[in-house]
Amino acid sequence: MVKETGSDAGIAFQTILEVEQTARLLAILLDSGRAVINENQAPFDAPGTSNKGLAPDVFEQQLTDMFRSRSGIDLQDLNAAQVPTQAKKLMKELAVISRQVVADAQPEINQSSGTRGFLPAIFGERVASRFTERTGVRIKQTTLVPRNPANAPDSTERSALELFADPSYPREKPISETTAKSGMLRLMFPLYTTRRCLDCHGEPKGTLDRTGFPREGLKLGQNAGAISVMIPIAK
Amino acid sequence: MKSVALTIGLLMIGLGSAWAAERVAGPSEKPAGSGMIIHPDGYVLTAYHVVANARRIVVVASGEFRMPGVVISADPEHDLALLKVETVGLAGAPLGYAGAVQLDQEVVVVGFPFGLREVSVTRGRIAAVRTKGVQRVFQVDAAVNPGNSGGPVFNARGEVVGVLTTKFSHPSGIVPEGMAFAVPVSYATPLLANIESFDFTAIGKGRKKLKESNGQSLVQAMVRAAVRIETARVADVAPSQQAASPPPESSAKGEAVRAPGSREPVARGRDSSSIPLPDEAAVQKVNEQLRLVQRDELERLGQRGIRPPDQMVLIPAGEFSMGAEDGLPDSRPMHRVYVSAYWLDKYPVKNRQYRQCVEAGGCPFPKDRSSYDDTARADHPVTNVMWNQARGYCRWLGRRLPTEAEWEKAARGTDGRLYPWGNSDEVFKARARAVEQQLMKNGTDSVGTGEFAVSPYGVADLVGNVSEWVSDWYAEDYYRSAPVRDPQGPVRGSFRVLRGGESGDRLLELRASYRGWDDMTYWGPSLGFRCAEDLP
Repeated sequence: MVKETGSDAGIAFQTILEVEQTARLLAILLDSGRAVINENQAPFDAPGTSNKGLAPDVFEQQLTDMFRSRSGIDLQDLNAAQVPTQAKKLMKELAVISRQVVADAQPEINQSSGTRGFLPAIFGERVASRFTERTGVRIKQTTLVPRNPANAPDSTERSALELFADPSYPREKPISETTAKSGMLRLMFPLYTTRRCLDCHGEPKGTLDRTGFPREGLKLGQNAGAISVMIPIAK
Repeated sequence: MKSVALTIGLLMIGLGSAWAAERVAGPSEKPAGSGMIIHPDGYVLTAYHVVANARRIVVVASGEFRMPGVVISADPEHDLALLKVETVGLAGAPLGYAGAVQLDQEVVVVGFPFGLREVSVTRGRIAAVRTKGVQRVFQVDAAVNPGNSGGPVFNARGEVVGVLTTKFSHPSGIVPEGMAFAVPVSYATPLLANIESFDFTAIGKGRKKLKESNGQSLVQAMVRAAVRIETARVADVAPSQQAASPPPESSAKGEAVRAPGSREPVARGRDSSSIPLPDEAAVQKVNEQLRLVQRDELERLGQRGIRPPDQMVLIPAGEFSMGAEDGLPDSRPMHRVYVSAYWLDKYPVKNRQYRQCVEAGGCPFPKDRSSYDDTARADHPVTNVMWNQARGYCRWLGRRLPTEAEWEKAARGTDGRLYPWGNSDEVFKARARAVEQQLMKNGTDSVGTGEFAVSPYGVADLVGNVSEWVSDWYAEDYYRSAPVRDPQGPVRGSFRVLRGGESGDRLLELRASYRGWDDMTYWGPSLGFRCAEDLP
């Protein structure tokens, strides 16, 4: 007959739901930071001024606004948010690191000749790697044909990206899995091509963009990759 | 071809009762899947796809006891359905608390595999939890047959924790042997709320009567609660089709089931899809009616001393058909929406008008000023504004951005037409040729030049000039759950909705039902807006 398993033996569905919510919020937070950087590209690119107006405080404010509008959560008042404790801790850490990355990049941002370097993807990668070092939670930007080989998808990520690429896949709905074997939640949060992405990643396919990479020929609204989050779950 | 099949399907549903009367004998029911009794008053839980498209449903309980069943409530999204049979005193299974189900926990799957006469009891483990699209499932490593689908997954205490589904596919696309998926029973809560005497506090409390749960009696209890479900499907009775077995998995996605109290309004507004588009004369007639109502309403307001704000048009209260059946997935389904009366700008906000706000200190400059600063374009729509700037301008005037529903109603009136002017593609094609001849201008047109595109209420430039920010967040599936009265859009999202195709767009994007979207911080040479205002 079936044996009753001890109540503390495994990872409960309820816990998985909470961790999944955490992973989703982290993906939205990283993407919000990317969006803020993207939004500030025009002043970065303008040569001649040595202050591009993206001081860490300014960035933090814009990140807070962006994240609040996308998630309903106020980073300045995380205690009030109806989210798991782990999510609060990790979101705070991610916000702090995002700010640090912007602070460290000030010389780059304020180059008076106009910068070409501090792009959303570069920001995302720096934040993600510091975050992983500090928390053990892995975040990665990935896409089927990445410009940076380090962002190439593994097999789980590839399967999810292929599903996202299907236009009939419901928009903005993540794909996640938590297996008994891995004891880890993996979540893929889809990203989409907005008008702003098209300058570098749009048509004509193959022509070089301002960073010297060939354009991918993405079309408006098309899936443009994903943020991959991996959170180990303690039993 | 597909749409033809769908239409035939819908027709047959409409004729359903007549058919039943004519063909008394009818086709016989075939095994469709499994299910479980979850309440002694005759309530049976199963997977939605097991009963989708069914003309008749028979629930077969242990001892080959056959009972006709009806669908009480259905949730196609999570693949769940609640059936009712007119029999009381059935042995139901208690429900467990899905939240407590653990990875690697042992479970028992009970069901009626196709081709076998007997119930099967299979042990397995919860191998994973997966989320994909709108579905979230337990992955169970147990070998099951499609006939098991709809059947229960029990925990070790004999409580139902999941419903087997075949409507979930492994994200990798491969179908590994010995793997099944089950919908957590917690997703059935909204369905169970249809059972008047359902005791939600008993969930997770285990079995009451089985004191000494020796293994054998527990398995017997599980087996007693499991049922076989047989159906006669729409497809089985279609004269043009041979009765096929196993039944086809409903190409029409089971829109057939019109269950009372159905959680998802399965067939909401479907009827309009089979009605042919009205011709030019009918469109003109509707236009006349709408203008008449508008004029009467304006007169009534006038008697109360209320005059239209400058350059604004009254859109009277009432229902209209929003969305489309044959467009992109995000504009489906076409559904009726009631919108309260409001004023809407006759034209998009012009550079000249936006300048007044900037000069008064109420608005920041457009993000790119080339068009704004061009005096020759003072009467062109203001562009290169972000969503916040658009909202800011309207607020400065004491107004607001229109909702998506308000925009669409103003653009297409009440008759579900494709474009503001009616249903003819030619109108715009001719226009496009004319524009091409005088070379495309720089993205925008002076407002009011698109007289051909004036809507039935007299609102201009809704399509073919600039895309316009509206107040709603964008959600692809919003129409499937939107309120039917003054919808305000999802509570939050990542993108804001843009309405109205731009001059260079294809016909599909020029439809009044077309939904664009972008980052609220985006701005561009083809993005503008107009304001709305509530009636006092």
